[in-house]
Amino acid sequence: MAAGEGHLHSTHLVRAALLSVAMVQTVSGAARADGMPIAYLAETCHACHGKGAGQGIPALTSLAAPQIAEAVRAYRDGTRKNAVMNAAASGLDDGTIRELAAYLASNR
Amino acid sequence: MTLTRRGFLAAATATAASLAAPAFAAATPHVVIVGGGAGGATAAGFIRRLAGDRVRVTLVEPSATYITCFFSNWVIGGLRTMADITHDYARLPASGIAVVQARASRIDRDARSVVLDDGTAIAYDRLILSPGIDLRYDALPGYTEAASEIMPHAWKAGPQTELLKRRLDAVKDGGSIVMLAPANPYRCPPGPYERVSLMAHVLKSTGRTKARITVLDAKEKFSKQALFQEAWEQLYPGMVEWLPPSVHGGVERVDPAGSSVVAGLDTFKADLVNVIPPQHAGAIARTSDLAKDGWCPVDATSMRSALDANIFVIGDAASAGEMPKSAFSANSQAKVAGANVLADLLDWPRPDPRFFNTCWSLLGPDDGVKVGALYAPKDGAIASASGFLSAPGETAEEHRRSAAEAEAWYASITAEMFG
Ligand SMILES: Cc1cc2nc3c(=O)[nH]c(=O)nc-3n(C[C@H](O)[C@H](O)[C@H](O)COP(=O)(O)OP(=O)(O)OC[C@H]3O[C@@H](n4cnc5c(N)ncnc54)[C@H](O)[C@@H]3O)c2cc1C
Repeated sequence: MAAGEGHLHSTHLVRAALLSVAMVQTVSGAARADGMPIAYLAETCHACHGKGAGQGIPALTSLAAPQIAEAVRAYRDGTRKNAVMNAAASGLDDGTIRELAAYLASNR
Repeated sequence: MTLTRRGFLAAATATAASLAAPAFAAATPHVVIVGGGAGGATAAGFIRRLAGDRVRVTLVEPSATYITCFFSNWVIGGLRTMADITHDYARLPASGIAVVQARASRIDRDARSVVLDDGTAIAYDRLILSPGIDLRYDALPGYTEAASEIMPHAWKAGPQTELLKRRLDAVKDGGSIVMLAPANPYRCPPGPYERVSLMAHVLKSTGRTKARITVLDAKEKFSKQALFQEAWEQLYPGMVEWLPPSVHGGVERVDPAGSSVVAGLDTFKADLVNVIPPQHAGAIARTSDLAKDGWCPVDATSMRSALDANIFVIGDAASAGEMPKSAFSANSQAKVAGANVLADLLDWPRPDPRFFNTCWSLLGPDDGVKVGALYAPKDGAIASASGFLSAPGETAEEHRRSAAEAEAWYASITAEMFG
């Protein structure tokens, strides 16, 4: 980042900028540790539960995380029936479902 | 909380970028995507949504508009218009995707660059190829590109779709239609049979119940066969005849001037011949030596080309094990490839792939069936892990629900592709 410093007039700005860069790195470090697999998984839902959801396919937007998690578990266990969802949820463990539901509920 | 973090990230990244633009830009890895269809357009959006400004994304696509093959049978069936299935790339730049309207003429794999028709080279750190299919005009004697104006394929949506629809609308009561369905693998396994159903629907609903559709198939069996044949008997009695090669003796050639098809055991003359020819991966994949026997081998966990570690091949062009060539598959593969591209470039963890597909098919208006599966890598190939198929004898209500699912899926996937 040193290459940018020559353009600056205020050393305060430099410090602020370097600080924010450092924080970017810290934050993306956090994303590295756990964000990516769940973000990927959540994205797979959007092929159907995206903008077109609401009729024909339920929209997830009005559901809270526990409701989403409950539904996915029920589809996985076959206690709730929909051929597409029974396959889509198969093999997901409870922890992953909880994280996925939390992610979906907080990233509308 | 994640939202806040994202907002903060965007602001922080913007600050850093404006302070040190050259150094920052130079260090930002570049993902180039060739082909703005079901695979490529999905991959572009996915990567930007997950990684924001951590990567640059360029989408190379020669056409200003994209007409979906998916739902083009609905157009032939009179249930959608061409305008309904026509989309454009205008909203992609707002999500940080650079759209280059050009054809990629070759890939310089050593230099890691894509060379456009005008000679411009675009360097990439990772390349995602999703060029779809090319129709093989060398495979069926008599069937040339010129012949497709007389015997439409309509297997790439656009003017061909309109041509087939016009020709269908001109068939008289008592007239005959012949469809040639290809051997596996090909784009959209249930597509020919959905088309037969919707053509029969058009004929029936316009009082032409004495018209007949004959399918000369290159296969002994086909996708969702029991469901389609049940529907043809119930909805379109006497209108559809399906013949496997053991009955017609194998199609030998077509005669566009005589509007006929010559098979081993018979010659079929028809008012309309719809030829769905054999296919192979889009030219750019084959001429870049990324294909074997017409399709591109890929690693089953990532969609990475088996022949070049810097390139991922997704969608119809890829040889993706048991996954059918569908828009849903291409969309699912785009996310697996996108995640692995980010893992390569940003040192992020690689998620376990959860490949998924559903092919909904219409038998008539508001009358659908479906087949699909979750897929996972198994012994080096993508294999079905948990599948489903509509059962024969389902209620009208179940069929109505499947058709409604298809409509919602179409709206969602096209929004994912085009914003
Ligand atoms: C009649 C019909 C019905 C179908 N119905 C369904 C359905 O209901 N559900 C479903 O899931 N699938 C369906 N499909 C299949 C679906 O359309 C394809 O599987 C899907 O489009 C494949 O996506 P792709 O990204 O591989 O290729 P495409 O979507 O074809 O995209 C390829 C893109 O690459 C571009 N391109 C090619 N070469 C180059 C180059 N050299 N440089 C730059 N760009 C290039 C092309 O212009 C094109 O835009 C249907 C297909 C047909 C024919």
